[in-house]
This record gives sequence, C-alpha cells and structure tokens, in this order.
Amino acid sequence: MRERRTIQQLLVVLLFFLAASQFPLLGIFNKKVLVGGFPLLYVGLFGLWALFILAIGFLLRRRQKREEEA
Amino acid sequence: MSSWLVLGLSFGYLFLLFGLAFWAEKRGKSGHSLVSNPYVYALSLAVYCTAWTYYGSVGRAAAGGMQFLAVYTGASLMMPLFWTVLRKIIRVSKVQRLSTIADFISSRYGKNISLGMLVTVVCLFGIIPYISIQLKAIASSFEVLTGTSAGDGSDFVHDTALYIAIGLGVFTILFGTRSVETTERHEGLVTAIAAESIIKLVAFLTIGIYVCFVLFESPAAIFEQVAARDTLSHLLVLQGDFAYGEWFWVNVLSMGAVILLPRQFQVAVVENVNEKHLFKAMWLFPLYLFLINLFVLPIAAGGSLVLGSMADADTYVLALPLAAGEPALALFTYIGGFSAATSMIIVSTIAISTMVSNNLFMPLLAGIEPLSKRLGSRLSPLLLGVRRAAIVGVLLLAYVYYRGVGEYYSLVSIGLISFAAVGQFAPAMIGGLYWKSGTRLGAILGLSVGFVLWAYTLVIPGVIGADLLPASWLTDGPMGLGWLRPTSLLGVEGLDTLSHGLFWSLGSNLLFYIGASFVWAQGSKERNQAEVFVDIFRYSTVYESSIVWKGTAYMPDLRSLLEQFLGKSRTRKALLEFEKKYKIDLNSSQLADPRLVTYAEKLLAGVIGTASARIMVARVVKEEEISLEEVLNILRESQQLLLVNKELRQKSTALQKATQELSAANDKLQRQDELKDEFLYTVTHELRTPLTSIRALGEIVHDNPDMEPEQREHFLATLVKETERLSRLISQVLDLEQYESGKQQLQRSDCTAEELVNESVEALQQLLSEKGIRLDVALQPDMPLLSVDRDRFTQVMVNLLGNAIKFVPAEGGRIQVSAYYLDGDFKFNVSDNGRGIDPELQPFIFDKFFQAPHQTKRKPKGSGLGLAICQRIVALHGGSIWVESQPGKGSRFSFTIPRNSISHGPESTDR
Repeated sequence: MRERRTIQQLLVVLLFFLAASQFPLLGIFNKKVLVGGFPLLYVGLFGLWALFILAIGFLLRRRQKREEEA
Repeated sequence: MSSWLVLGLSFGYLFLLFGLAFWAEKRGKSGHSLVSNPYVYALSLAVYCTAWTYYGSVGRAAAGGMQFLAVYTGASLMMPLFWTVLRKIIRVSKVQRLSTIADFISSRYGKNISLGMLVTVVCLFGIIPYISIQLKAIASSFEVLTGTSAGDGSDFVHDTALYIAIGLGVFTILFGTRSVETTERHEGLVTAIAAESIIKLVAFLTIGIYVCFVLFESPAAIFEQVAARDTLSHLLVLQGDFAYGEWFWVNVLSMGAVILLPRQFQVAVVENVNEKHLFKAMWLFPLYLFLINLFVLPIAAGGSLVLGSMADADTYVLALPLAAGEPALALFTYIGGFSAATSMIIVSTIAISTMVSNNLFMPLLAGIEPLSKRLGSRLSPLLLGVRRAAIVGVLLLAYVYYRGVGEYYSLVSIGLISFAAVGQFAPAMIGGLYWKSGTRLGAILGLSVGFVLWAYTLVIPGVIGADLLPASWLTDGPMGLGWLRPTSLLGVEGLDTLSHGLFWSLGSNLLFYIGASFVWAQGSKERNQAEVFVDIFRYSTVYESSIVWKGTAYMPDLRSLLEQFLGKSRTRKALLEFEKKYKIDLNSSQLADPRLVTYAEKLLAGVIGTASARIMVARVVKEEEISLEEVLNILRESQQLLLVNKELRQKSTALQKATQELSAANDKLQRQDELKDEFLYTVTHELRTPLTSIRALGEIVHDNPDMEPEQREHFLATLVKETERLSRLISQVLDLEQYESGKQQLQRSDCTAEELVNESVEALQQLLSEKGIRLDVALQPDMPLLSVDRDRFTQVMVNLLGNAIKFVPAEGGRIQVSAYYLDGDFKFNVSDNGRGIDPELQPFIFDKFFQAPHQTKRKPKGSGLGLAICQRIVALHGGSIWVESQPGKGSRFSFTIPRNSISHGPESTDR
C-alpha cells in the first residue's frame, strides 16, 4: 500500500517537472534577460532541476523514515 | 608540452587505475567489498558522462546555448521511474541470470536466437562509433596539449589513440573477463569506474571555477559581456525554428538511454548488488549530472569571448588554461577528460563483447551439434577466449572507425545517433516488461524496421555530410526519388534531422511491434517467459516452478552439462543450493526434477546467454511439446495455489485473533463472576450483622420480662435502629440492582441548583450541628435551570455530604459545597477536610465490587454501596463523577450534569 503511494508520488514529480521543463512552459524562461548576471534560461532550468532533486530526495527520505519506524 | 610527458601521465594514470582495481578485487575476496554500497553504485552510474559530456557539451553550448543540457535533464527525468522500471529489470535479470540487453530481450521473447543477434548487431552499429569518438576525444585532447596538428594521423606509430586503445584493452580483459560467469560482479572494474567518476567531476569543477573566478571576475561578468554582443545571443536563449522540438526529443531519448545503453545496463543492472541502492542513486545520480553541468555554459561563454573561433569549441576546457599560461591546470583537465573517455570505453567494451560472445558466437557454435560435442569440456576456456577476442575486436573496430570516418563527426552528433540506436530497444523492452501479449515476431519486426529507418534517416545524412555519398540525395533524393530524401521521408517536413529520424524509426518500430503482436500469436515457451517477466515480483522467489516444462531428463546428463561450463566444484555447490531450496534429494533418482532443468538452464544462461543455454539443455533432455493452453492453465493453477495459501494464512491469523478475543472475554466474565460471588458474600455478611444483633436484643427482651424499663427502652431503640439499617441496606441493594438492570427511570423536572443543594443540606442539618461541623455553600448566581430527577439528585448530594460528615475530624470539621455552570455542564463539588483516601484505592471507590476486599481492613460506617449508586445516578443523567483526594488533607468529590442531558442507556425515555 505504502509502496504504491510512493510510486504514485514519484510519478507526480516526474509529470510536473516534465511539463515544466518543456515547451510551452519552458518559453517562460527562454528570454534574453539576465537575472543577477545569469541568463534567465540558465537560472530557470538549473533551479527547476535542483527542486526536482530535492523533491525526489525528500520523498525517498520520508519513505525510508517511515520504513524504519514500522 | 612534451608528448612524452602527456603520454607518460596518461599511462601513469592507467596504471593507478589497474592498482585500484586489483586492490578492490582483493578486498572483495576478503569480504570487505567496496562495491556493495549505494554511493559507489550511484558513482558508477555516472559512466553516463563520457568525453561527450566533458568536451562535447562545451562545444555544443558554444554553438547552441542550453540545448546541450537536454541530455542530462532527460536522464534525470528518468529517475522517478527507476524504482518501478529499473527495479523490475534488475529483478528479472537476477532471477534469469541475464547479463546484457541482448540477452534480456531475447529471453523475454522465448529465448530467441535471432532476436539476440539482432540486438547485438544494432548495438555494434550504434555503439562502436560512440566508442570511437571517445578515442578521438583522447587523441585530439592530446594534440591540443602537445601542439601537434590534427592532420598528421597517417603515422600509426605516433598515434596516441592506438596505444590508449591497447592499454584499455589490456585493462578490460584483465578485469572484465575474470570469470566465465557474466553475471558475476566485477568488483575491481566498478571501483575503478566510480573513482573515474569522481576524478572527472573534480577536474571539470576545477576548470569551471578557474574560468569563472580567475580568468574572469565572476560568471556574471562573463554573461554581461556576452549579453553586450549580438553575435553571441544564442548562448542566452534557445534559438531556431526547431529548438523546442529538438529539446523535447533529446530529453525523451536520454530518458531511454540512461537504461538502454549497453554500458548503463551493465552498471545499473548487472553490477547492482542490492535493489535498495536505487534509493540513494535516484537522487545522487541526478545531483552528479547537475554539478558536472553547472559550469558548461560559463566555460562555453568564456571560451567564445576569449578564443572565439581560434580554437575548436570542443577543446575550450584545454585551450583556455593553455592560452592563459597554466599548463599544469590544462594537464589536470586533460586527465579528467581522459578518465571520462576511458570509463565509457571500458564498460561499453565489456558489455558489447559479452553480447558478441553470448548472442552471436555461442548460439552459432551451440547450433552446430557435432562441433560443440567435439569441443566438450574445452568450451568453457574457448568462451573466455572468444570474449577476450571480442574485446580486442570491438576496440580495433572503434579504432579503425576513428581513423576512417570518425574524423568527420563531432562528439555530440555521434552520441545522439547512438542514443537513437539504443532507443530502438524501448518498445520491445518496456512492452516486454508490462505487456504480456507482446510477441517475438512483433519485437523482431519492430526492431528491424526501426533499425533500417534509423540508419536511413540519421546515419545517411551524416555520411552525406562527410562527402561519402552524393549531396544530391539530401536535396533531390537518391536517384532523383524525392520522396526518399533521408531528411524528409515521404515528404515529412518541418522537423530537424533528429526529430525526423526519431519520428520515423521509433514510430514505425512501435507500430510494427504492436501490430505484429496482435496479428500473430505467441508460442507456449514465449508466453511462459512473458508471464514471468511481467509478473516477476510474484515469481521471483519460486522461479524454477514458474517455468512449465515437460519431458524426460537424466541427472548425469544435466550434471555433466553444468560441469562443462561451470567446473566440478561450482556445479556441486549449485546443486546443493538447489537441494536446499526445494528440499529434495537429487541422488534419489536418475530422473531429474523438471525444476532442475529450469535451474540448470538458468545457471548456463549466466555463462553462455539464454538462447545458447536453451539449445544446450534441449540437447541433453527429451522435451515434450506443451500447448499454450497447458502453460497458461498450469501457471494459473500455481497462481491460485499461491493465492489460496495467502488467503489461508490470512484466515488463520483472523482465527487466532478471534480466539484471543474470546479468551479475553472469558477471563473478564470469570472475573465478574468472582466479583459477583464476593459481592453476594459481602451483602449477606452485611445483612447478617444487623440481623444477629436484632435477634440477640429481641431474645434478651423476650427472656427478661422484668427488665428495667429504661434498659428495655434502650434495647428497643437499638433494635429499631438496626432494623432501619437492615431495611436501608436492602433497599440500597435493590436500588443498585435496578440501576444495573436498566429498569430505573428518571422522573425529570426543572429545578434550580439552589433548591437542590438546600434541600440536601436541610436533610442533614441536624447531624451537622450535632457534630459542630462548619458548612459553606458557594453557588454561582443566576445559573440556568437543571432538568433532573429531583429525588435521585438529592440522594447523590445527601450521600456525598453524609460521607463527608462521617470522615471529617470530630473537632474543626469543615465541608464546602459549590456549584457552577460552564460550557453546557453543571458542576457540583463537595469538599471536606477529612482523612482523605489512599491514592491506590481512589480508582475503585465507585465500584461496588471493589469495595468488598477492603471492607474488612477499613470498615466504613456504611453499606459500601452509596457511591456506587451515586455513580449510576450521575451516569443516568449523562454526567460523570470523580474524586480528588490527598490522604490526611481531605477529599473533594465532584460530579457534572450536562444541561442538554443525553442520558445513557435505554432508560432515557421520560423526556
């Protein structure tokens, strides 16, 4: 049961970031603007990517903790 | 820089790698494995980052900005699916002892030889160019460092790539073919790969930091200069008509490649020690990709600013420190790139050589019966020889390719074409894992069509670009047939070359796979494998019984077949394991158990591949044809058996639980029965005491007619008192019985709290003044009306007050009565300064049954039923009663009555 839940949560993470990292949403970042000296696209993509890694890490960590408790 | 220095350093590095691998193998043998740890696993996955990442990304970023990143974001996007898809692949491969992707696909579709060969051929065509560009990267980085020109490669003796290829061949043979069992882990190799991953990351971060903070003031300074130049704006945004399409397709392609590339399959599946390592790898691996890509764009931008077109953008990481006069840094960067290239070459070569030996060579050899019979026990060493030859062959082919055509390509274009080649495995692979009806024919057709279209739409344009075919093919089509143009097949326009090629190859592949699977049915063997693959998590522990096999097999035949490939001691050990797992004695009969046939086949598959294992086993046993229906029936039965077992287990636990509950209920009943006995005993005892004194007094009065009138008066008064006590006791017992049985009804009426308290106090007024007790009454003014049974309520108050009177000290006794209304509840308190109640007894004082055992110890001046009755009356009103007390200081009894009282039990009918 918990197994299935984690799999579903991971799937949601995948779908969200897949949508966010592709056209048309990617167009939001694809502008010739510098943010704090960095290109907006660079900041956007690496920011999304960092969030993505954090989300997976968070989900798996929580799962592991629950497993230890059980 | 001197060539000898760079060459010496390269080989010095290789020797260090050898040493590390040796050391790791030694540790592994002594039981201190370095490999069984999730960090090493995650690092070994980073073999994904090759020279393409190291040099090519910068080159691609210099030309197309962030477009380079799709290869790594795509791979990262696959991570959430690792736990479902990759874990399933790992489980299947461990259970069936599959060691390459060719073996995997061939096994799924009925251990088919031609499918295994087809996959191997696709890999050879797809991956050898990829290996060759790694050699090219090493050679060209060598040239940049030493300053020799790229054009004079005609001299083999002075070609570094050749020496490097030889060195890597030796390494791969030494650490990649230690055992004939391909499923055995390569500890030394994996450790070396993990170490190389660290080196390439550190080297790349170093050069990134150098460019950003030493060469320039900060990355922001680089980008501001870039923004000021119109010619460099492609570094800041994705440009061109196809930018988004290409971005999407490369993402998708990379999602597949991170599992389907032979080297990824090798490190992620074959070298996986523990499925749980995936947990860490799922976020560590994308983190690695994130870090190694962080400085790519700044370096590309910095390189474009400083060097422009003076150097090939692929070599900016070397050219930048060289131009700035930092040869040592350039050398360090070179080693990083060297490690990226070598790790890819080593792992890819192992994976491909295993495919070549097990899916190309062995099935051919095993297929020729007289030949394989004549070779007999020499087959096993021959197999190792073949695998080593294949390693040399693969490296040689890669080298030849590099010398011949590789010069024309950039790192990235070849890399993406390789990705597209292995992407063709996706339908057969993913379909095979989740769709039972996918058939062999579908897989063969889909893969063949996909492969041909891949070659035509993706390889041919490159070949044309290298002037090996007439350029008119691109514009007018071959032989003037316009609809055959490789970059717009059938006139499909509006896509870049990669998207166009993928659309055609993957699309047709999928279509043929699904279409053919619907048109032509599966064979029984194939169906059996499909069931096991798709439901692997159900079958993995009982794999041998999940393969349906019918026929006659003899123990000695199977044993000698196993000994041929595994050797005597390994065979004995394996058979012992089997005996232990299934609890049977193999020596009891000459006939072999059907499960043993499957087991032997599986063991052999780990050595010679599944298809060849099938042939070899089929040769020593006599098999009977089984129909598809039979297979399905047997599987269904075994499934149902499993299910029934599970249900039985569930039922037995439910039964156990019920038994426990029953025995608990029984215990409770028994205890209540005991308490009832005790109560009866106490009640009769209590009844007898006054009865005895009544009788004695009566007899005295009866026997002494001439007694003093005063004395007679006294005796008679006592007699009356005792009779009263007796009748009170009896009425209390009856009362209690009524409450217990639920017969008691409340006669509710509206009264004020003041009335009720005063009424109770008045009843005891005389007693209070007799004993000289001070009574304080504190009532909250203007309380709402209570709806209670007046008499019953007074009974509670009187009882509590009576108790207080009994226990207060003879001198200076004080009692306080208070009442207030809060949040829908009336609360009444009766406190005294008596001797208090022992905390241990407090929980029991409202319990009529628990009163009994303590009565003899501390005999109260009452029946011991008063508080029990109080509690039942309060409960009947829907409230609760409790006591707070400290021995020696006094007690406070409190009870609540809810205003909108919902009384408990069936007796609340009087409203």
